[in-house]
Amino acid sequence: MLQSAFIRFILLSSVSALSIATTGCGPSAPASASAAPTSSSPAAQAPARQSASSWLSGVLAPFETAMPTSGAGLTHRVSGIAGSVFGVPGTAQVVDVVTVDTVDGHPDLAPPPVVAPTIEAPSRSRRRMDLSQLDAAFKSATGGITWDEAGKNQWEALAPTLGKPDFLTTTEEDLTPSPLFQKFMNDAARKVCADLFTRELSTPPARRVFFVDVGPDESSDRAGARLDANLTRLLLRFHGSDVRGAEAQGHLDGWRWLYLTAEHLETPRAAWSAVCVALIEHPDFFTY
Amino acid sequence: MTRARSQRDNRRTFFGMGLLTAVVLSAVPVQAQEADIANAELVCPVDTPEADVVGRLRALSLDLRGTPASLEEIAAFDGLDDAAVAELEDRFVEEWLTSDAFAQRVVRRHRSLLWPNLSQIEFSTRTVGVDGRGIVFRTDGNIQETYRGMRGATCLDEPARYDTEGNVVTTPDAGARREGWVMVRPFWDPSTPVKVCAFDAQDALTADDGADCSSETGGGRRGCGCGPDLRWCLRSNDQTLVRNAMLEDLDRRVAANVVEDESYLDLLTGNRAFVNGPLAHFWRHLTKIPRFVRMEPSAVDVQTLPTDLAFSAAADWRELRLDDRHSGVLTSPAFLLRFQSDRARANRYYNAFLCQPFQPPAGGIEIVTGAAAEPDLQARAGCKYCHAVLEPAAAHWGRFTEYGAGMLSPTFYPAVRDDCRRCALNGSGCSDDCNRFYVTKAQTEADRQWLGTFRPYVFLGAEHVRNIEAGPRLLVRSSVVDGRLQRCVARSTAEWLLGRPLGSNEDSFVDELTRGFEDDDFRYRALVKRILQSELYRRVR
Repeated sequence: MLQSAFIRFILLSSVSALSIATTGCGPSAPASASAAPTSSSPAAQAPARQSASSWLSGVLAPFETAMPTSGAGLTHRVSGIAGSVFGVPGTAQVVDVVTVDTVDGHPDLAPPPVVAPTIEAPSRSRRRMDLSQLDAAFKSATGGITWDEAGKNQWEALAPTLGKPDFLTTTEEDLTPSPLFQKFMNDAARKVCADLFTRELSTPPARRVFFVDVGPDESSDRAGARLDANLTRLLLRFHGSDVRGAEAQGHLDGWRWLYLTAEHLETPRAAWSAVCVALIEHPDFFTY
Repeated sequence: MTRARSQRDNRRTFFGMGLLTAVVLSAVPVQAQEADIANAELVCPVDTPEADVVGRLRALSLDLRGTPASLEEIAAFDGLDDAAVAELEDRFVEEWLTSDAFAQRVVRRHRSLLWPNLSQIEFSTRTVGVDGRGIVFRTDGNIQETYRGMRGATCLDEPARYDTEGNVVTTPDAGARREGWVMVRPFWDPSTPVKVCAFDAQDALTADDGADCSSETGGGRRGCGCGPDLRWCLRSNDQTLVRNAMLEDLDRRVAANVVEDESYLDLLTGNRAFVNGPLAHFWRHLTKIPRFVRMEPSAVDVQTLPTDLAFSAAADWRELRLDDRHSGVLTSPAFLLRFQSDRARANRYYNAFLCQPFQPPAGGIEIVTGAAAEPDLQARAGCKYCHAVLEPAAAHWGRFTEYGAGMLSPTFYPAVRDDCRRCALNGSGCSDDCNRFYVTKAQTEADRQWLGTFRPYVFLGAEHVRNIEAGPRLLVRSSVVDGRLQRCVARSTAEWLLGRPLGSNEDSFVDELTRGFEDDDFRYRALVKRILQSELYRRVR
């Protein structure tokens, strides 16, 4: 989701910046265009008399005869201009990529109308659990098992390292999912999953929390639809993510793919181990 | 207007938004833009910010109880329609708000406001250890040299002998004069007598020179020991017990306020406190002994302490009602010892409960040559930017000892004390009380008028004198009257639950919460519920 937002930002920033460049609002087009006046040339001294858009009209004039009157979209137009105007070697040919509506005999370089964006209402921030929540989340997901080494709870032992304040030298809790935090989550996931599997294997099926719909050594071929049932149950248990409804269709695909890939390479038990570790390392486990 | 012209206008509007639009859109993903991305089918769809009931339940449970909702709780929503879901969700929220787990979440939250840490405090200057023979002896300072004439010398492993006058008989041994041991039932376990070196086990209340054996001064006298039942000496772990008890007293005050669903103002102005065995022992016997901090005169009336609370009863907590000079957590020993000066106490209050930190203006504070000659920080150029407010605020803690947690009553510590003024003027030795709590030295001519004055009164304007006698309660109440307290509590609680700072464009949300908080008689649980049931909380990004 965050990645998607970031990609959206990059795309939109690029599109907007380039849109501005095409209309002469941005600084890069005049400065680098081969046909544009340089900053030291006399022509550059008279920008007040010549608007940026009319300047760009002049720059584009030689191409106008080759321009279609409709068809190509904004992105294509921009790439065409970038290739020709910015003087990239080997690309300085006229291409019919710009849609131009003429208004009073001058090309109108405005982009097509867009739907006014709806500003999203404010919301709470998805955030990382604190250490006591994390400890509880482990116990809740595994039915009582948390990260401990030699009987010592590691969330308590490592609390200062993981940013829990002592209110003397530090007064604010660090809740960033930092590389250090991820490293310890990695350690925790492996240890807890190993402990969980050890317990599960010595527990009657009816009382298991992980291998509920499938056995630990049961292949996907044999398990059939029970594979999805178990994954669905685990997502609910570990992430609080309900993928049972039709609206959640497709949410299981990645998990099924992970299991099947691991099973293809190793045993079903190793594949479930991979799923267990992935469930814990997934942001949906330690954020809310 | 023609269609072409309309389109052109629309396009210009788009250009006008320029990069700003791009930045805004990046922060606020918009579904409508997906169609503009050429490879939209390859980009992960943006999740809707509206959390589904399972996700909402998980967040609510983590915020209210610190643990995810159980599968059984989630399953209870299966097959319900919207109205039933809302009703059940409300029932869960109400149930979780009344749970002890929620009280512990609030405790945790208030630790980040009150910063409890007493690791630097030594609660007894008299400590004991056990040697390899199983004999208890004092380990503090040079007391072994005082008792036996040689540093590090302990007693002989034989029963102590006394002369006809009751004095301990010693035997010359390897350069020291050693005594034997006596059997004592120590306060930490009266059922098991232990061997204790006879000098160390002395239970005299005063030394030969009249020094109080229960005080820090008396601790160094040869005629003073650990007192009856060794009550003035702590083992190293006992220090931790007392320290933890003070911290837990603070936590319990917060938890009780939530569990009892009381007004949040009571947390800051009430007189509830808690004691367990170690803390009761401390208030009874050890207030004169801590190193560097001043716990006397005791802020707790020992007559009100439960008589059946033994030191070993660390898990037995009892509620106490203190007198009306106390002001909730703001005068708890954990707060007073964590913030040891009155200014530090006021500063923490302003930061945590008024959202009003003392900080210089942008560009810094102007340095004025010669300003240091002004002794009054409320008037000194540069300093007054903060101290004009901070000094009157700090005065609210004037009746509580700085570098300690004692309480100075106006009866024994009036605004001006003649003995302190006299000793300051004629140069005779001033008492410890005068030197600690009254002005006895004048650094400048302006200071001379304050000789013999109770320190919190110094340079205080007439309109602020009442702050000293009314205590932090007045500060809290005045900040309720001007609305700062409830607004800050509403804002900071919302920021805690929303996981982000609120922007200035969300002031109306804070206003709404503040009004609700007031309407709900300042009950914290109700405030939290309002936030959790807001549209803001139900959406997550």
